[in-house]
Amino acid sequence: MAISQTFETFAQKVASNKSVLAHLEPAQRLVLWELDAGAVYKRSVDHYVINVFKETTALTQGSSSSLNAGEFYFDYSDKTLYVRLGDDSNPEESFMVGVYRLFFSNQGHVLSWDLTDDGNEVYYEALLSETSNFKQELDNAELLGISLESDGSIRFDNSNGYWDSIFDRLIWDSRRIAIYSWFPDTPFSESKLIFEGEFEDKTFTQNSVTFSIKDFIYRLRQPVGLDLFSESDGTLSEDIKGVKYKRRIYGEVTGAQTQSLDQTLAGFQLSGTISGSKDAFTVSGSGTSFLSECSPGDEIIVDVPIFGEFTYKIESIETDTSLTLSEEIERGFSAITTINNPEIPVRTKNRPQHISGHKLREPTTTITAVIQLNRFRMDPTDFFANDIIVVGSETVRIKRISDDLIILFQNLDSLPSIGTTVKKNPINAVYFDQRELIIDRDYTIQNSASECKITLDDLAEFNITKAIKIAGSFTFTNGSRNVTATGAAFEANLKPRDWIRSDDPFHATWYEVLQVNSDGDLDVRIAYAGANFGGTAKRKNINYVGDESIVTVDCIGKEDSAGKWVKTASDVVLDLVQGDAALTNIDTDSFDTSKIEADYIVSLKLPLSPTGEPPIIRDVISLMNQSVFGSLVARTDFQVSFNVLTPDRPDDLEELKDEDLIGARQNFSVSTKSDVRRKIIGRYNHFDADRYTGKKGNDSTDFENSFVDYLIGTKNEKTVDIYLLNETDAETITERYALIHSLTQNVVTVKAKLNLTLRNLNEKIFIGLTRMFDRFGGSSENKKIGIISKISRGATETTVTFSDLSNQFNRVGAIADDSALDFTSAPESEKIFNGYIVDDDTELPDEAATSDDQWNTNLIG
Amino acid sequence: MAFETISSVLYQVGKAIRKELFTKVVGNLDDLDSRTTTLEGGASKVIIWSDRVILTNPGASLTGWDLWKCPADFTLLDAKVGIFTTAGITGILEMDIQKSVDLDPANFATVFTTKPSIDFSGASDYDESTNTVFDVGQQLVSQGDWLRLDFPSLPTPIGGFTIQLVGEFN
Repeated sequence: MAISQTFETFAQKVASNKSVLAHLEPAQRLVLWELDAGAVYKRSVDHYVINVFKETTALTQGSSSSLNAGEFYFDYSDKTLYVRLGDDSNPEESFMVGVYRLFFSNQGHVLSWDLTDDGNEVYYEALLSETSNFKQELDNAELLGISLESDGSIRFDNSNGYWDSIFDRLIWDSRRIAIYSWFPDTPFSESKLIFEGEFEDKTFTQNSVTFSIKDFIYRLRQPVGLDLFSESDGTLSEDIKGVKYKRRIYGEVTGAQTQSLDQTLAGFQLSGTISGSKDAFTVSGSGTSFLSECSPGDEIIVDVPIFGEFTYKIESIETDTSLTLSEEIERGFSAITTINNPEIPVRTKNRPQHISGHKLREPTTTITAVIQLNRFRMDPTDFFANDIIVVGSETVRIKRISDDLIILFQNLDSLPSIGTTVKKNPINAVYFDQRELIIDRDYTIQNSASECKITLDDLAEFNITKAIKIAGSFTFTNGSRNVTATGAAFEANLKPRDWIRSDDPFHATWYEVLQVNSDGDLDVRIAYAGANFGGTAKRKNINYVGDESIVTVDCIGKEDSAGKWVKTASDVVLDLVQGDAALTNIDTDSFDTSKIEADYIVSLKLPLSPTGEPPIIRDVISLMNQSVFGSLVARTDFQVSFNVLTPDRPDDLEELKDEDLIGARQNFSVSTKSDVRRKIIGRYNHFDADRYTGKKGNDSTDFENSFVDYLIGTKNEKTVDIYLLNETDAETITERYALIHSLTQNVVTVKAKLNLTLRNLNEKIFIGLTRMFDRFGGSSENKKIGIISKISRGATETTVTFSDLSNQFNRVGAIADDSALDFTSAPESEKIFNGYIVDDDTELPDEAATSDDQWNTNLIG
Repeated sequence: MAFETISSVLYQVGKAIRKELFTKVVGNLDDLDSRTTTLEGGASKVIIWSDRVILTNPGASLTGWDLWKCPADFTLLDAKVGIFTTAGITGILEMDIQKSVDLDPANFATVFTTKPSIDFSGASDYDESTNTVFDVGQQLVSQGDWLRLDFPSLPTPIGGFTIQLVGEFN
């Protein structure tokens, strides 16, 4: 055997002898066991065992039949399986599951069980008769997207009845299958995985068995895991505003609508008990607080034993234990509790407001150097200008950050010390009734592992309401709840639960209005405590937070399990594929790289609307992809990889040449995809409610492309939703859309040898085919840089589709090495890589140019 | 890194956009930022009022104790009132700064969300206020703006006290 050969060497050969191998991994319950020694039990099995589970807990593989607790060992020589459970119990008392690996090929080989060069050798049954091609494709025309899940089928010969005994007795559903391509003259380890996935359906005939199979990407079709609100969260009803799910927040958002956890609904129970006689108007209380809990116009609901519920409107309130109804009492009641359904929202309800079903990121660091009262140094990670921070115990706002120097808008009251804690509040602003609430005065934040909410102060609405002078002359009397006035219009200007104060400079206390008796007479809820005063007064007309009110917050989003901010599109996609789709085969390096290449702060709330349903995972990933030109793909090794489209060209870019194609050199085709737009509108920073209008909306930016206007003339426009927070980032993405939509894309499809099987979606490649046409922006040069958008892998050949993304890779200049030559001296192969300074007028990189061919090439974009 | 002149040769038409060009641009920006930061930290303060105030029979409040016209754009940075003694004094000392583009009284609006104040009922001798919160929307002052110093609340009897209003150029 020519062991030194590699897969790549053979892949170049058209007539290589190729084998297809398959690992099928069904499961079976293992019931009967016998004691081997100590706590080790054993049994014989018919197939190669690769895993053993006690219920859902996997046992560890041991190295011999002398096992530690929680281990298993499979002796392949005599097909005996040994187990020792963690608690040394008899496995017959547990639900034991064995996972087998069955080995197949199209030719019959003795190979290692794990396709390493030194694993146990097993026979790969020569029953594999056919596999379909396994296609990988991005699901979006702009190469932003997710690779569609690859599916296909695999068929086995059953003419000898091999499958009769296992087709139904082994469990195949959702079990793993792996298919490899291998050249028999190469080492086992040179086999290449061409598909990894799960069984879906199966078909049995007397001559064959066929399985339909799909890869793991299908898990992205599940909804995002969001929790429903429940009774344990507080007093709230879905019927009020239609909110059902606790939201997940990524990045940083503005105008996120909160959900009250203490709604009034049909009313709230009053303190104490009440009594009233039939046909009377008066209700008396015991232990009641009518003056603070009730107002005229409120409705009390009285549940009278035997007779049921009666609803009465309150006409007036005399004392904490006496009130008058607007109508006679129909059925008398005594010492019963009652519900008050207020006409005007009360300031003690709707205080807790839910924001998210998870903890919000709360960056914390310490001061490393103190400069002045408004200047100090610290690690600025996750801190930005305009953030509200708490330095020690003082709340201040950041004016600017320069490297690690923090400059505040306002001096601290005292110099902090090195080591003083600096914390950024997860909530940057809270708005109600067009006004901003102030932290600590109007609300506090509760940010726990399972949720983030704010609690409004009882006086929050009072605090944010402006005082207005009232016309008239007023009399406030010490010890009295009654206020009289001449020339005033109380009935037009005040209502219960508004506030009034005298202009006595020595008694600036506000009093809550209980009831307006006439234009010159009203009652407040507690007695006036100042000295007798006659003169002017002020009022505050309060709009209280009610069940249907909209309170919004600007806040930071979720943090991951390691306490890091889920901030970028890469972070969000990783959170979804790991947390919600439970994928484990993650190429974390690709996510790290993408995080650097697109470090924009995302702005996303799930559901997108407060009343929405949990979205499908892949739909959310698509939103991220369209926001940063990202794509999520399964690589050839079936690792899930996240990539961001950038105009850079790797130094080691491979070239697709004529000899890579199957058949004649002309065996490729080029089609065009036209989606040219003159204007791109980027909608970003989506909010639930504008603080002024209360309406859902977003900010927007646009880019009008004069290149399209002058050369193409189309009037088509495109609107893109970009789920980013900042305007500058949205502008960048909008301009990139404009570039891609400024020209028709060329799509090149080739049928190639198996060497292209090793390529991945989204990889960049030189298209160096002899008969390719000259590229836009290249003088007599036909080399193009393309990006792989589709791969269809078969056992013996591969079809690959590339897109040049409207010649993006040679139209956008890249920063060159310091050794790069000037344009006029540089070879064509270098010109496609580097950017050049162009003339202000002609936009050509060669002042002595005699041709227009180089126009619109290598511009910094 | 010291400021370095960038030769025009580096950005002539046809030159490759080399890394060294960006290295020099970044180095110069860092140098400028470093020097600007040092300058801001040392010489950018604007002292609008830093005075001892003695009032004679002013009443319970006083509007328009002083006016000040702004010579350049800056940000209000700090505002405080301070007292010498609490002995025999009751009430609240509160300072307000009102801002306007002109001298029309109707156009003046407070720059504070919470005005600097001291309540003598809980104060000690030589206290300075620590409650000031500027209104973010009013904190930026433009050239030509007027600032007016008011005392919405004065204690009785009124004694001497201190006021301070400081800004910082942007």
